Amino acid sequence: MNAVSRLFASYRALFVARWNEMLQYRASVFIWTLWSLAGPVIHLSVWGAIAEANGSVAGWGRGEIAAYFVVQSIVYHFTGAWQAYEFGYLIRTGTLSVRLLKPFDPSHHFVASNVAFKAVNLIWLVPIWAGMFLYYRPALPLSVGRVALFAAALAAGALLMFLWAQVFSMFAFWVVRADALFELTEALGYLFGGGLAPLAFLPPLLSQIAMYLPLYYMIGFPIDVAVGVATVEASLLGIAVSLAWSCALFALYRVLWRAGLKRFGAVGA
Amino acid sequence: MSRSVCIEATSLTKEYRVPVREGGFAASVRSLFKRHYRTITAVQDVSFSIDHGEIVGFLGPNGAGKTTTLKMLTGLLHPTSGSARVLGFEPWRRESAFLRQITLVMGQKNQLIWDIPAMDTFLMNRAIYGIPEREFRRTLDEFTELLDLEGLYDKPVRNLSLGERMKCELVAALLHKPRVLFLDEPTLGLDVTMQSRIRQFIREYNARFESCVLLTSHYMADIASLCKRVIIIHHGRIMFDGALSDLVERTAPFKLLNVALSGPVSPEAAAAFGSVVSLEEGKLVLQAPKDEAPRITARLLSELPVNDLTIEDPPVEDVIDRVFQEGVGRA
Repeated sequence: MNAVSRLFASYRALFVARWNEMLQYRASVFIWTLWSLAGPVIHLSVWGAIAEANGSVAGWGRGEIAAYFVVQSIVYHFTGAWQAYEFGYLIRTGTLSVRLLKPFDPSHHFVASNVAFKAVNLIWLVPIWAGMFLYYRPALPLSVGRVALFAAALAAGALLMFLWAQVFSMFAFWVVRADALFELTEALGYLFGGGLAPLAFLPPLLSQIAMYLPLYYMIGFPIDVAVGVATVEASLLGIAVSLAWSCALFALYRVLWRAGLKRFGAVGA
Repeated sequence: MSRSVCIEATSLTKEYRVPVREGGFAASVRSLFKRHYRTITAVQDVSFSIDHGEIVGFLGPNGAGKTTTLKMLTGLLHPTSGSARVLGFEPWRRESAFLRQITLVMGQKNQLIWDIPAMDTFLMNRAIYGIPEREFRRTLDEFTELLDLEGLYDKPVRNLSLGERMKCELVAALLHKPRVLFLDEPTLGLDVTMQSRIRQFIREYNARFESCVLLTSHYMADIASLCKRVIIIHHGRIMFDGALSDLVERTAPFKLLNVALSGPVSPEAAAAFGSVVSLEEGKLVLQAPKDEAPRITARLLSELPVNDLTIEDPPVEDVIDRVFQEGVGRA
């Protein structure tokens, strides 16, 4: 068995194990999913009500706002990464040792877990999203080209978010509760990433700052591509920027990983 | 028959820098602004080598440096100084070819995924180690029989008993047939029968695959049953490295004479033969210098009402305890 087929087989086995694990506590997984939908639905209700009262918000009508937040619920699902919390736990308890003893990079476990979680959730998310589309009637400029661009932006955003979380995971080698740092970036992402509202709703200075941060490319950018705010050229450029950020984060993650391993105390193991 | 070296540690030293502070509110506020650290030397200048096929007991009280040494030899920790080679690899480089040939079983750490059946972890390991399907099935069947695990692989791990779980941990750790086994308290918390079963399994695995085993255990029965050689570490330094029988010889140069009596014997009469360890309900235990044991035995048989008499070395637990308390050769 060569290295590539072994990696493929390992991923398959890891995915199946994590899928089975998720299904063991499907009720919790379902509740987490509902929780992840709460933000978009609440924001849609608030901004939608303001748009109805004033005719529009920053030129966005109710239909556009509905489109933004319905798509946001999809983007949140596909780009989510949370391994910073798990990695901190693995370091604190020394459980990382068990994974380090295998001839297999521990980061593959996080990839498989991430994919399995997203796959399991699709069981109930697909009908929920269908319901949201029917109920909120979002104004989406649907076309094959736009969907393809959205899929590419979404994939780039998912990669970027994963690597972002991976970099912040590495701080657990130095700081006991590094997940608090990651939580801080989630709060920043809420404002600068397009979680609270489309960047167009922010004061010009803040939206300018947001464009230079990677957070926008994880959430707001794929939504802007889907709802048609980003032109085709802007979409392609944004995907390239997102991938460039991913390359930089990947390099940083590898440097931190090697340095962290030298520091690793394997306490409790 | 000459054997090649499997594990070689040379002057391994590991220091940790740990934050320290006094208890209480004021100290915790002060530590917010200025943290104090202390350097702890967990392992100091440790050197030894182990050949292929050897089973070596690695002994020491809690905090002696056993697990830290094991973690360095498995590549989990980078040493502060010194060097090590395991199967010719520098462990902390964590090369795939190295990791494929070793295993570390920790009695207090699980690799089995808690909420799903053990088989899912086995299948994951099969893929990670690239074990061919037929070989995987054959090895699994063999281990299942040796460890009496029939019917346990489809239950979630959390529903297994501690002993069942430990046996499944061993299977998960050995499916890839590693050449070097680092076993850290593999029988921790298990009942006597289960301990014995796991010892037997380790012995058979070692004999079958000519593997090298470095074993830590607080259960001296594990050590006495499996290890001809022991390495004793205390306060991070090696105190003894040699045959278990030599350790007993050097540390406890006396024998225990267990005498079953058929009539009453006064404590004074018993003391005339040697140091009395215990005398109760027709049972006398005497401690006698090794070279005098035959003469005292002859006297006991002729002067006391003896039903039965056995001569034994002192229990290994006592010997090790004396080493920790007083050092080798001085105990």
